Amino acid sequence: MEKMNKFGVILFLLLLTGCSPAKWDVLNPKSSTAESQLSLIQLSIALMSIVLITVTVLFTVFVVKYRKRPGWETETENQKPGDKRLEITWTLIPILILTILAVPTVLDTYKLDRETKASDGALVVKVTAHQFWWEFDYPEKGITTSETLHVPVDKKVIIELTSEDTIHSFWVPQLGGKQDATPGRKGKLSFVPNETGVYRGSCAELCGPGHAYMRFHVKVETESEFKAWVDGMKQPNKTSLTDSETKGEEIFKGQCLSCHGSQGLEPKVSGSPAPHLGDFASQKRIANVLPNNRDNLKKWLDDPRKVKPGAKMPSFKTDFTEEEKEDLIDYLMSLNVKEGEKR
Amino acid sequence: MSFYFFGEKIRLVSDIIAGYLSIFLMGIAAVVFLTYYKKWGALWRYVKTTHHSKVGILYLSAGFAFFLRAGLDALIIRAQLALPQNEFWVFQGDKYNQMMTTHGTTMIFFVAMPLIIGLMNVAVPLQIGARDLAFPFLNALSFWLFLAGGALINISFVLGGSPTAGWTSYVPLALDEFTPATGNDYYSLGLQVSGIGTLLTAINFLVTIINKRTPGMKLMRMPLFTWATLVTSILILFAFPALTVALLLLMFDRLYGTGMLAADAGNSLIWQHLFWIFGHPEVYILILPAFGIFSDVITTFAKKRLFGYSSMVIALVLIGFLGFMVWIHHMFTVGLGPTSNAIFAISTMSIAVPTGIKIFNWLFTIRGGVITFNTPMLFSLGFIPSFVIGGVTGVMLATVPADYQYHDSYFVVGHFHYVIVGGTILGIFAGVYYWWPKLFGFMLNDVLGKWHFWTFLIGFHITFFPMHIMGLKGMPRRVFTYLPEDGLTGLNLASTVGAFMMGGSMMIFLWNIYQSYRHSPREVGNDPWDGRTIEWTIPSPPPEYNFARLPKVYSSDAWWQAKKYQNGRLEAAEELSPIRMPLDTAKPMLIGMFMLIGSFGIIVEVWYFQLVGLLGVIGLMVLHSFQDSGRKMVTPKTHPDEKIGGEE
Repeated sequence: MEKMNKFGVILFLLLLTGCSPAKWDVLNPKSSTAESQLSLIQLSIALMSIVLITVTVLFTVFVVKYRKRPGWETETENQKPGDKRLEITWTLIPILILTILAVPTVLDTYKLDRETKASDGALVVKVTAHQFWWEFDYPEKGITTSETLHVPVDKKVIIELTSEDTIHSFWVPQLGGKQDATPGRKGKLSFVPNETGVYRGSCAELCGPGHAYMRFHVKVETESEFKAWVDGMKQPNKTSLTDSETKGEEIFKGQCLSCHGSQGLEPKVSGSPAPHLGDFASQKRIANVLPNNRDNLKKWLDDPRKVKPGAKMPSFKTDFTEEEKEDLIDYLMSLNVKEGEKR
Repeated sequence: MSFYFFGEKIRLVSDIIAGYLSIFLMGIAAVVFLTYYKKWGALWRYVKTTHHSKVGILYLSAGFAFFLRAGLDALIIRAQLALPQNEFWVFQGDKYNQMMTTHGTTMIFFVAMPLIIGLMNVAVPLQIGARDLAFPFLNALSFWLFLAGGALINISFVLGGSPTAGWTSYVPLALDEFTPATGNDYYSLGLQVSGIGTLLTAINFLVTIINKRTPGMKLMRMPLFTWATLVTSILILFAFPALTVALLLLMFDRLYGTGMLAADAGNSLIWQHLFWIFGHPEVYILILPAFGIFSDVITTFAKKRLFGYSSMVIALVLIGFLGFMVWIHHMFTVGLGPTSNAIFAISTMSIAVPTGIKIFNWLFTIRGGVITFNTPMLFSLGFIPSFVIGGVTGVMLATVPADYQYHDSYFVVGHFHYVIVGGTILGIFAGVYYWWPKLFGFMLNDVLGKWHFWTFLIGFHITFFPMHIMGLKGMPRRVFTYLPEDGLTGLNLASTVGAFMMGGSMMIFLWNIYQSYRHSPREVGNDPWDGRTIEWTIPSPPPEYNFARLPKVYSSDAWWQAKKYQNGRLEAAEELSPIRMPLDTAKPMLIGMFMLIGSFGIIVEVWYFQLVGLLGVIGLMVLHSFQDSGRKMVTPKTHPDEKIGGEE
């Protein structure tokens, strides 16, 4: 009975998810690191399936075979206190199985550590976690961004993690397992992405009310795309701004620039108190919550904390006239590093 | 609308009003019930009791009350997570974190622990042939301290907000810089107070099991539940002080401005180390007694001796010992270096060996038996495959590089619910159904019990199995929502459906208690399950001295041996003579009450509450030290259901 239920449940779930396990993030790696982690996951699932199947089969057979049936004695004469050989068997076989798992575990633990420590021409990104957003610094390129981490494909990336406030944890399932960002400590993690694409990342350690929305993306692009993006970030907005966008930029300089950086503009307060908005228009969502469009941006400006619990940004509901808001939104929506993708 | 409560602003929003209303209505209902059925006297007798089975009943009742509260939290959590970007009532952001933290903290410290300790209180003295615990006063005190701590954590929701940093309460998030509300003060004080109670319980059971066994009850003849209690008590004795130290540091940092756990002035990793040095043994504190219950129940309903008794005992001890050497596996992603990660990976995997021994010994106990499927046995059988799933995912979590993926994801949430619900909670239900007739003299209805079991088990798998997949799809734990494009909707919806099914299952259980109380026949005799151990040789419920004459024991499974080979009677180890029993006293309850007042004063920083609490506790301690608590002499009477001595 019970087996049937469990089987049914699993089947039901597979139907519900409507996709094959090969598409689950962790099982669909796009970097060297995530691949080696997946191979251990597969090995451990295989070994543990042996255990699970053995126990389930024995359990089912014994329960069915020795269930009390009509006409059976209520007592059994079989009162064997134990069996040395059997007990030694089920001590040694698990030890063997665990050894098969432990050896690659230890080897891979050291291997991943060595890879993280060896710099060999890797792109270093300093990642600082804040309540509730991620700051990405490229010290060699002299640029800072947030929300989307851009990295070139087939090149090693070393992530150097720290935190400004509480403990956070950096996790991009398809590119590799997580590492904590602890205030006062440096965490390190490395991977070589092997396929272009946009991958989801999130904070995995409870960090406060906005934890659920402390997300980010990693955009793996070709070397030339990456160069173009870096150049775009360094240059002030290349397209000529419209009137309203220019007005918006002035408002931005007056109000927003104290915390937020933008294209060619450094925030007035040091230490990055808020996300860099240089590539704002390319974001899919505002603060990783609402789809990025004008109406939602207005909602966000009016009451950020209602949209994203724990957000540090104050409300600008009464600071601007409707017209000023429109101009500011025009400006923000023009902040797109990639030419041609401008909305 | 809002008001100030000792400096804490309390906003009267809908959920807080609902909280006050439910407290008020339940209070009224309790008063009406007690008055209408004239139960005030009975309640007062329970308040004053120091008798182990009554203290056990208190623990079980309080534990189940907290179970309902923390279960309600779980349903709120699941309602919020049912759909992407859902906005269920007010439970997003901080309020969600309050629910999630209260759910975890309550379930671990105020549900699983007291229910386990309640069953220990009920069964251990009977299983070893003792008339009470070694220190009855201390036992009652343990209960009232536990209740005081639980009350603090539970009342916090309506008095300024519950703790918000998760049941692990990691710093710096749990420090006042990031969570200035009083919630996390309730956490540190509540757990300290209940922790004292737990520590006293451990000492009590250690001394009881070492010193108060009936003649012939050698250690290697004890039932497995008693063995598990012994090992668990040792674990508590060594593990809880680490938690106490951690909580003390947290309290000082939060309330008195020290910076021991702060990231800049101190070191926030100290908390993680101390917490997990306690926290991992805590997992075994919860699961070992359940293992003991399963051993006793499975042997009874398979009608067979336990297969490999001595290796079962050794496995218990080994699991307990290794449980102290694995805490870093909770911290693999902290970055402590490959060497410490590798060592702790191996030590973690090694725990699977004794656990495997236990599983196979249970299977081979069943083999060749005559199995009847009464409710306690169903819970025990349901445990085996469910717990093995939790066990193998545990081994998977120990593989460090793979754990970098699983860590702090829903995979872990799935894993530990399989271990704690599939192990501890199923064990508690098995134990409750099993010892219920002994405790109250009537059986719980078996048909309703089976409904309870199947709905609970199926609901459990529907709730928690999808969580493994959510983790593999990238869902971090402790998030209050997710996005539609994450592809997590179906899984979360299934999980929510399962959770409500488990909620319904608990209603069946409550209905069962009520129905059985009303309609179950009152004549269950001494041995309704055809048991094997000596608690089944005495009347149900037992007289207050348990054994009119203590039995002499010559083997393990002594009662089964007696039924099979000695015409169903155990030899008496003594003549009938007056028995010294402890007197009732309200002092433990008063100490608990003053502890509650004092802790509350510390939380809200009001000096006169602190002073009243301190003076009250110290005063009562002094009074108790200089006052002979006294003993009463009880003349035992033989009972037809008592199968000890005579009638040769």
